[in-house]
Amino acid sequence: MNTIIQNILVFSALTLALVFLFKKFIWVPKKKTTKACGTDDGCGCH
Amino acid sequence: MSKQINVALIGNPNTGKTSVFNALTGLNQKVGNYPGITVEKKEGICKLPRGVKAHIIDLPGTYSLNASSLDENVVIELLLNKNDKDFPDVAVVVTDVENLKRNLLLFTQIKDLEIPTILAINMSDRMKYKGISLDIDYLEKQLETKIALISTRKSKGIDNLKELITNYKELSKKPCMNASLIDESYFNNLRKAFPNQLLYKLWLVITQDVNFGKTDRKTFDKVEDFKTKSKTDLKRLQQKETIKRYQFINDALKKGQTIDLNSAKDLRIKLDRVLTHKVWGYLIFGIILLTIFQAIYDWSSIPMDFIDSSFAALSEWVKNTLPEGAFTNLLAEGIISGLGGIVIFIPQIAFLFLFIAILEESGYMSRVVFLMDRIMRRFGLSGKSVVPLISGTACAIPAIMATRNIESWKERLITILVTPFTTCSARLPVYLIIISLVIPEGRILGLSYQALTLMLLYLIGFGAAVGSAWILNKILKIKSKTFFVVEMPNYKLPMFKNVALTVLEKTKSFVFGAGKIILAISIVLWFLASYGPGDNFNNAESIITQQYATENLSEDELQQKIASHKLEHSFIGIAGHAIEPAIRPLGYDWKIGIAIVSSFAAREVFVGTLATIYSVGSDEEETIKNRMAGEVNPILGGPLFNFASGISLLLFYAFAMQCMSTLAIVKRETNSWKWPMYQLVIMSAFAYIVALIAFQVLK
Repeated sequence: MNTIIQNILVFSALTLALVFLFKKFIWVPKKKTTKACGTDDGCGCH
Repeated sequence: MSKQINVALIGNPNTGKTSVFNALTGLNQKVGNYPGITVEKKEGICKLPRGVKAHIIDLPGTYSLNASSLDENVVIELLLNKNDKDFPDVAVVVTDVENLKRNLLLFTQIKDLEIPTILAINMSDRMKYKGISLDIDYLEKQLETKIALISTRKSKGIDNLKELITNYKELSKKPCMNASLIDESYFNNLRKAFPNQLLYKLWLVITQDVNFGKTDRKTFDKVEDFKTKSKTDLKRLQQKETIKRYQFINDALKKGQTIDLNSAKDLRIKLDRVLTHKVWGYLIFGIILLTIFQAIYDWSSIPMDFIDSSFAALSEWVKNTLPEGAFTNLLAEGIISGLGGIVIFIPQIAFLFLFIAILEESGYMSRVVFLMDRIMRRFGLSGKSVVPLISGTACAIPAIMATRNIESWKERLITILVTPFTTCSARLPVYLIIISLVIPEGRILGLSYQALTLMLLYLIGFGAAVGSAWILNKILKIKSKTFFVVEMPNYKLPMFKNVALTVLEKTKSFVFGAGKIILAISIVLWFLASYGPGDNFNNAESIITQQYATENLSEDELQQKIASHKLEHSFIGIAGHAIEPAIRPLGYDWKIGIAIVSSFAAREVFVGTLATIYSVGSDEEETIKNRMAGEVNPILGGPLFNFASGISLLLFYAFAMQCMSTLAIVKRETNSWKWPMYQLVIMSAFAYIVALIAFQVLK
């Protein structure tokens, strides 16, 4: 039982680590650009 | 329920804006980035009288609202966008009492946006030394504002500033200057075309067309009855606006400020004569550098030894306390050892940032930039390249972003390409551990060999940056020249609070930024080192037992042999052996090879990787340094980390482009993969050749 739990924990930690590294270095989500600002387009400039 | 108001701290650089921010928020502050861009955003919470809470935002320093850089655009975009969640209920313009005239230009522009504005005149404690006196009542009337005379150094006037912020609704919104005065007919047309909008805001939108999304100056061309002007004409009007503003400021200060030059005691000129002298200046800078590196070594050895032994003891305790199994091993050998490999360097990193913060706070760093400018020009770089190169000692990423204020594209490109040579804080752990292993502990003239080696590595990095800039300058044929202006702030005693907060923030970002990557890589490496394919790994015990059946090995020795056999045939062992032929001529074994490959994510991962690899299968409580010192070269015999292989490794890390994040930022800043790929190939090849020569000569 102990061995199974320990193995589950190891593989969970490994999965989390791989997902983190993948997101950090390979798949970087696109960030939103700053909101448009200028004409009276409801941006609050006016 | 208490109300929260938004307060924007705005001001010229070197006015002590950040000191005001620290005085208002204390430790209730956080640092992030503005969305979509990489300009630093500092915000915090301040408790004001009568239960009011203020959300304080420390905006980037700017000389005016005529933006010329990304940092300055942030200020304008926030002040023009009422829908922004950070749009200020009140703006606090921080000024320096000694540069009031220049600082008031920005104040009048913000006031004209009809935002309630408080004028905070900082460094008031210096007034008597400079012979300055102010008629506050008169200035308040002329500038239509409330003034807080403060001294963050002496903690004076902050309560009054808080009181004024609390009562911000009483502030006048009346502008300082009638915008129409800039060009009456043009502004009358503008008013007719956009009757419901604030004239000065429209003027800013017309003139600052860079970062205003959908609207640029062309939008105004589409409006009937309004004809905008050419860029040259608009520039002329901007100059006219500045002149008008200074006329207004001069009038206000004529009666509001008196300066008695006879009572001004100026130590600054005398100090500048020495500190920026073409001989003494460099000599003093050299002595300061030597002192810093010596202190980094001397002061941090005790806390480092403590952290090292604590992590070794923690790892041992986890193994002995938790139930036996794979996860316990992962915790003890992978995670704790890997994290220990980074936490151990906190004292040295903190001391380095402590000295940098003191140099910046005291005003000396600007003199260093001035001194370095003289050198840089000979290598075809402008003085503006000095700032990225010096800030590269912390991290190449913000340093590369700091090149944005270099107007000439070629000069900027060269600075981007050479900045990764400067010794960043991520190299420091690698240097420190290897120096401690291969450089003796003796001293010469009171300076340790180890501190001198570290300083030499910093100089090699800077020399490589300047040298490669010279070569690139010849290849790329820079024709355009840029001017360089650096403001020399007054000398002042560093404020403990500012220095402490800088050290805390920088160390935190180093540990948490690198820590997460190291933790993840430690887990992956431990897995790869603890599992393997085939019989050689799975039947290691029986293979070794049979192999050494005739020899009288103790149980410990046998377990050691089994662990070593397993590691060699694990996934990581197989990968390490595959790359070994390429790195053996440099004096490295496969374990170092794995550490080099994994540290491509971030250089500081090198130490954590070795700590993890050397911990797998080991039952002994050992420090990282002892484990590395005990490694034996499998081919040549003797210590694996000896003088030749150590110097080879130091030089490899001095020149190699071992940082994925830097490559990504270079790609973003140059908008092409071509330049980061050149950088990667050339720097790595150069590092390999230098490391190869070093090992072959020294072995």
